[in-house]
Amino acid sequence: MFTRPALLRPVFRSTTNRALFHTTKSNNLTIPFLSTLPQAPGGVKGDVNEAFVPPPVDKVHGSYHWDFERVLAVSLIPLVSLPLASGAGIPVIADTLLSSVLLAHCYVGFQSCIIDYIPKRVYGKNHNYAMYLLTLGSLFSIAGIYHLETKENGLIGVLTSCWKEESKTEEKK
Amino acid sequence: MFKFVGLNSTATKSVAMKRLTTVSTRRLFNTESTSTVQAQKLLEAQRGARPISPHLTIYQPQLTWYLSSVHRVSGVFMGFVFFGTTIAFGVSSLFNLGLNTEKLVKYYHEKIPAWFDYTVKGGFAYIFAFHFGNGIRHLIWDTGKAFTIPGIYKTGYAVLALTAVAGSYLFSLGV
Repeated sequence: MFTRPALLRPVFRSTTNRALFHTTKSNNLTIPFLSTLPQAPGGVKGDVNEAFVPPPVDKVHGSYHWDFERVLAVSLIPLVSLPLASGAGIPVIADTLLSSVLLAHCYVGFQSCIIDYIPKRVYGKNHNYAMYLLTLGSLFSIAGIYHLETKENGLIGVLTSCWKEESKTEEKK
Repeated sequence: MFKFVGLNSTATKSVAMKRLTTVSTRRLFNTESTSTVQAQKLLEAQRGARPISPHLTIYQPQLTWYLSSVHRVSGVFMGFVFFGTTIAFGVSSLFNLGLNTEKLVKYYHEKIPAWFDYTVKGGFAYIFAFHFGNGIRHLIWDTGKAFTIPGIYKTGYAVLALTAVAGSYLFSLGV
């Protein structure tokens, strides 16, 4: 006859149905066969009361690197348009310039990919090994470009020979 | 001056109600006292077990990040081709393995089947045209122009149109 006050009524908590909320497990998308460093739980380092310390200002890896990237990209526009427009062979100096700037452009591009997908925070030393591998590849590439320019028809020579069909290699576009 | 009285307080009830309404509250959970260190360890364990919200899996398909992904993938693909070719020539010249353009071209024209040839050429033509066009789009943004929602979409569609035209033209050179 006397109902119990609402405050004292037993409360039954239903277990939350995780399927209702589209959540994922903690992020475990890593590159197979590459060892990772242990990460702080929840990504929280130290106490919540500690002030955030930003990384030191470094223009070489910041502002100057960005400028360098844009200089390479802008200079590639005429260097690439020239062989596309002329169709036939280009002077060796143009081919050398194109290959060198393209090499630097690819190096910087791959460096960005390594920084994004093999970050130092997660992969530690493996990040450095990836950069060393890229640098080693670039050195072999320099040797290859030297060989192509001095003893062959250059990079564009390789491209046009493969691209044009056998019957059309004699045609001048 | 004012004393806080709770529900069970006998001061607010009549004699008849006192026995009937005095109920013992029973909580459905227990507490135990922990030290600060133990509490911190518990907090860190909870943080480690928390799931993260979905991000890439739920982002609405948009021209912005689709084109950005294609730009990066096309760049990486062409970069591999460039490095592969130049490193092959470099290694061969350093170790006298005897690779040169004629051998490579001969191998390519004889051993590679036509369907593979057209796939490679077509793919390369279109992704080169796209990467070139989208690269110019990025440089336009770096000057400060067109970095608005309408600007991004207009330039994006322009790049796609240019890719279709220029890519087809470059592919036709190799067919």
